[in-house]
Amino acid sequence: MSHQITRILVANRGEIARRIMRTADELGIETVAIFSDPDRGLPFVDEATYAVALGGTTSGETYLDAAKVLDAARRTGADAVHPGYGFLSENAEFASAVTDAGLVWVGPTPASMRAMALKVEAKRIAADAGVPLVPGAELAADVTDSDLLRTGEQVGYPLLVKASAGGGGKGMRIVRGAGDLVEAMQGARREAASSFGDATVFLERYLERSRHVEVQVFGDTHGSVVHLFERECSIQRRHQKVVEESPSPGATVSTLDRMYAAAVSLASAIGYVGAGTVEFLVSGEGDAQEFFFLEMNTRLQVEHPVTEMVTGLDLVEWQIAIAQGEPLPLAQKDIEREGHAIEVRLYAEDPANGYLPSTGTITGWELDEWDEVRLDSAVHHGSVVSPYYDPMLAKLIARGETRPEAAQKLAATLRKAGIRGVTTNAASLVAVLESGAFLAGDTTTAFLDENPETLRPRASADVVRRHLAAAAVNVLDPSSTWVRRRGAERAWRNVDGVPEVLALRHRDGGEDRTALVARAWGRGSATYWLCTDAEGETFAAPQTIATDPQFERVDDLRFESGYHWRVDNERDGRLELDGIRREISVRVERDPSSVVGRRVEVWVEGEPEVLGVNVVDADGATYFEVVDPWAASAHEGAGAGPTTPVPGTVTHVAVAVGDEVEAGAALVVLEAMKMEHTIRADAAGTVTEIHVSVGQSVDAHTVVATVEATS
Amino acid sequence: MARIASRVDPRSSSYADNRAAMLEALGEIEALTAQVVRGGGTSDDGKAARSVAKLRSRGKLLPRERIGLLIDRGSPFLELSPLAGYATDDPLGGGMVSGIGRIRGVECVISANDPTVKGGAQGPTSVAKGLRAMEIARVNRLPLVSLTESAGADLPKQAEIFVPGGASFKNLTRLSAAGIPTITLVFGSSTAGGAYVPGMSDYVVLQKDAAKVYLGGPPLVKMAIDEDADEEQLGGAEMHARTSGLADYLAADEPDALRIGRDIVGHLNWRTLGPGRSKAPVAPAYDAEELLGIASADVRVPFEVREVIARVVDGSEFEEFKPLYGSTLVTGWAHLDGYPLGILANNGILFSEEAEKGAQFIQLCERHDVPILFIQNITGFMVGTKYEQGGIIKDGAKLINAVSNSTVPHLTLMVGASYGAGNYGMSGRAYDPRFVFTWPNHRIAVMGPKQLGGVLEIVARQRTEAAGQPFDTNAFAPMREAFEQQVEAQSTALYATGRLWDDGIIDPRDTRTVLSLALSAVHSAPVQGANSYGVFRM
Repeated sequence: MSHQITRILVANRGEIARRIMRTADELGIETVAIFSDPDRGLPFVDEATYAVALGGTTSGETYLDAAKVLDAARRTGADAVHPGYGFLSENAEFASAVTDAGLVWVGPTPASMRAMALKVEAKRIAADAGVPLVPGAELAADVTDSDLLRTGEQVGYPLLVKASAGGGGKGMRIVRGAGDLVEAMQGARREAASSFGDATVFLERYLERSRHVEVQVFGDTHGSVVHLFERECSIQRRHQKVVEESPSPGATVSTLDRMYAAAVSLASAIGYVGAGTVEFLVSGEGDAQEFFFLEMNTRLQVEHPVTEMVTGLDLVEWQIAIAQGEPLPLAQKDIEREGHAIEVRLYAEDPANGYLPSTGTITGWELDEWDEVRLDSAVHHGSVVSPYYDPMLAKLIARGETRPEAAQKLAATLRKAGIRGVTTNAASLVAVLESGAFLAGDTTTAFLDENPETLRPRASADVVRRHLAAAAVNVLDPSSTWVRRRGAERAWRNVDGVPEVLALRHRDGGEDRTALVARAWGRGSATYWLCTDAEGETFAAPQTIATDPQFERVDDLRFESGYHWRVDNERDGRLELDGIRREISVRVERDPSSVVGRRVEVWVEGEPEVLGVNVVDADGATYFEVVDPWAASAHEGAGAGPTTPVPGTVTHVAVAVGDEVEAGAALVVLEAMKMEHTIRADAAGTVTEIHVSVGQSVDAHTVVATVEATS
Repeated sequence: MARIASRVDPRSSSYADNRAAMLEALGEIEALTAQVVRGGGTSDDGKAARSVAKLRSRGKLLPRERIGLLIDRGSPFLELSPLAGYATDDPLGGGMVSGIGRIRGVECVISANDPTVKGGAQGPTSVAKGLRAMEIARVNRLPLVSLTESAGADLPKQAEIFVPGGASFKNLTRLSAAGIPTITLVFGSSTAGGAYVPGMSDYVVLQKDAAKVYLGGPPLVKMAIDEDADEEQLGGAEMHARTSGLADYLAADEPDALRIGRDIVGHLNWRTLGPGRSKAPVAPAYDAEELLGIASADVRVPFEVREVIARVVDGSEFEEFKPLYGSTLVTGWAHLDGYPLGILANNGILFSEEAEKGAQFIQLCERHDVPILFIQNITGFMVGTKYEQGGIIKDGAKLINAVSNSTVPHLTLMVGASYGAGNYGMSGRAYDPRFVFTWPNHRIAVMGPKQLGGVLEIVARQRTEAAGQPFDTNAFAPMREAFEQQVEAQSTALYATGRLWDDGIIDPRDTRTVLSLALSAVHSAPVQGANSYGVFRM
């Protein structure tokens, strides 16, 4: 089997679709993208030679619909399909259908996929190949509660309930005691059924303080198998990897050697073709270190760039070569590794708030590639993050000669990410990369639990003050023009004495904080007052500022705009504070609708209301939202009841009208961004009304049920 | 259009002297203004602090803070007559703030009582200032927003205010009748006559647990009908919102009241009726800072008025009309911040040619619907046999006729002297210019103190000598000097602004900004020239 690929369909979306197409472009292969309705505006659609609208919104209607994908390939004359990761990438039936349609499948054979897809079967093969396993047990579909509990005891706690067909943490639960096992199994089954169409789950011992280390393997159609060293991906949130690196900071040389051998032997045992990853858990230190087989992923991994950065190889190029029937490009002895690479996954979610996914339009995006820092991004400025798919926005990968160097480059880049429009984990990632535990290589799968401060990092007071000063001068300075100014200067007064005060809300340490800024009106005045952490939400009596101890008076605060004006409101410039000048970038977000009807196109008398200010410099980014001073007294909302935290689809209604429920009882289960959210009763009572039904798409803040409190 | 060529020498001694004198005058004004802004209505620091502390203890805001929360963020606020009441029995500022600011993009006249000044009680200055604010709202067609918290009439001065003060309520309803919205936000007491301020307004917002609006308070009710009335039941905000219907909106607190006020302006569907700017604005070519050294410290020393125009108008460009005729009155066209403008500016005493030239120029501005800026630095019309025989009365009458019957908006800027009929011919206060602003060096009187003193002496000498007595010049000197000093004191810019002869003293460097804001305000109403005049005497 040998076929030169000329036009490849990428059966995926987002960053991985772009990444695959990048290599295809370099190889002179035309590309075909497929896209769902919400993804129409994303970069991967624009960058493909052809792009096919699948029609539909959910994954099931689009990227998981094999018939639509094959039809797209047929209509565009594609001669190969690359599945990326997730979606149909580990679906053997789809792989078969692709080859049956006469197309090249860029991936392993359906037989290998099947062998590794069912984890129970995979473990049997691994055991036969002499690879050590974690204690675990299968569960029959009709397992009784008492059998389940007995099996749980045999495996031992803590344990994991995992979906047999799963991956990526979906359908997985940690259970610390027998009391939670039944509910966990039911939840895992529901999630497994909705994500993978297969509700089978199994139990497995949960090794705490272990490391997740995986070996990248490649096999070709000529029977050769090599490994491309390991990646450590221990730092995970809810069993999804967040930070990945190579080499592993914790696995010993002896462990690694045995692990490479085990991985190659497993791949060889199943005649593996293409890119695969054998995942292990590594437990213990030094000579006592052991490792256990976890699973084999028969696809390109999300974190494959880590391997590319240290080996200098293009794994997608390898995949394509192998799919074309060529032998492995390099022999094992010729594969070398140099330096250290770290990847972080940038998610649109709030680590300080239970990883609540965030959706919206990206209005700020300062990330870019530079010296040995690679960006694999699904989005760019202006992209819309929808609630329908994985919340990962981008991967950022840095390589350095040493691990600290790579970590430092990555942190420096992330600090300047300046992402606006959606909440991200960028600040949390910086905190991880700069934490003592990370730098000491103390990276276990419990890292985030053991270092919770990294989830809600506090910016240094100095940095907040400097960013606040930059925001103040850019909003309050009379020369901070939005368009060329007419009439009087901003907030002009002929009678001095009442400074203009602005309340700015920013998020720091996982909490909303209010800062206040004011500027003295006066000819050429550069006097400001700053309060980085105010007591109230607003500040009404500006004439008291000079004597109010919570304010710091700052003289000679100036901002000098550079020549570089990018977008209308964005200014790169230098901030002069305390007699020191520093480079800083400031973007003032305004509400153009606030000047409707005021002849915006020619002369703007006033200026559009400022909605917020995004300040980015080498020490980080702060977004200040302008607090509406008039809104404080207008907020009067009655306790609404149990509401949806995010927009999503109702997958399960756990109660019926008339049910008596306890406080905390599950009412409705919602799936959003592929995560399951259980909405619970906030107090004990009787369910008198249910406002949603299974399959219904609901907005955020929708009341799901009325529970009348038991009096 | 040609750019004015400036010949100002900032290194000259006259420039330095003028600048020093101007900065000194500005310093005095600044100190007085700070006293007004501080609140309390007194120069006694301790007393003022106690009044303000009392207000603060009730969680209340000072009037300028209220205005700051009422207008759009970043909106300019042109405060009018901040030093009204200077050299009178009334507190400086009159216990009231008035000005023009933008609310939800709409320029409005805003007036606010200062409850730290005699509890916001209304004295003669407050009444005059309030009436002037209403006039500005009426002639420029600007919505009026009143922020009310007043103890009512300043009772010891009731005789001075009772009759003229009554016009307030008439004016409110006439504004309403003219389609100019009136909005009143009540933060405290607004009782007796004051109750008609909300009563006569289109929109009324009362602050819960703070606004008190009734005709008669509990003591008066007890006296009149022997009822033990509860203040809240008599005139509380909730009562008016739920029972009497006087309140259209009930506000939870001060910011809430101001928010509601903003929302009301937001729904007015307000459109300005003037044509607005006709060109893109361009900054003047010369530095406004130099205005400080240009205006003569001594009004008897003439200075080139084109140097002022050059630092005020767009691009310093001025299309001069009749430059070779009647040269002591400079006339011509310019733009200021994009607004078209006709300018009449004094460069010396007025002769017949100047008066006729001015009358002709005004008629052209009327024909083209162009607002007029009068820049006054005028010691009067020329006198003497030759000029009387030349018909200077007839010619001066032509100018006054044109000024009086002109219907395009007038802005009057006093940059020096304003003496005699020159004040009238150049649209002084009595000729209803939309706004009058003055520079600190400004002097206003029937004529200069020295001339008046001289006239007084001549008249005295004639009377004495007619009675056959010898006239002793030396003996008369102290009397003449005292008289001159009195005239001087009563002709200063501060004395004038204290009596609301103008809309405020401005820093010369702010001239362009102030005029731009004034022009923006006048364009809220239609700008239309006159098509009939009095009979021109030929």
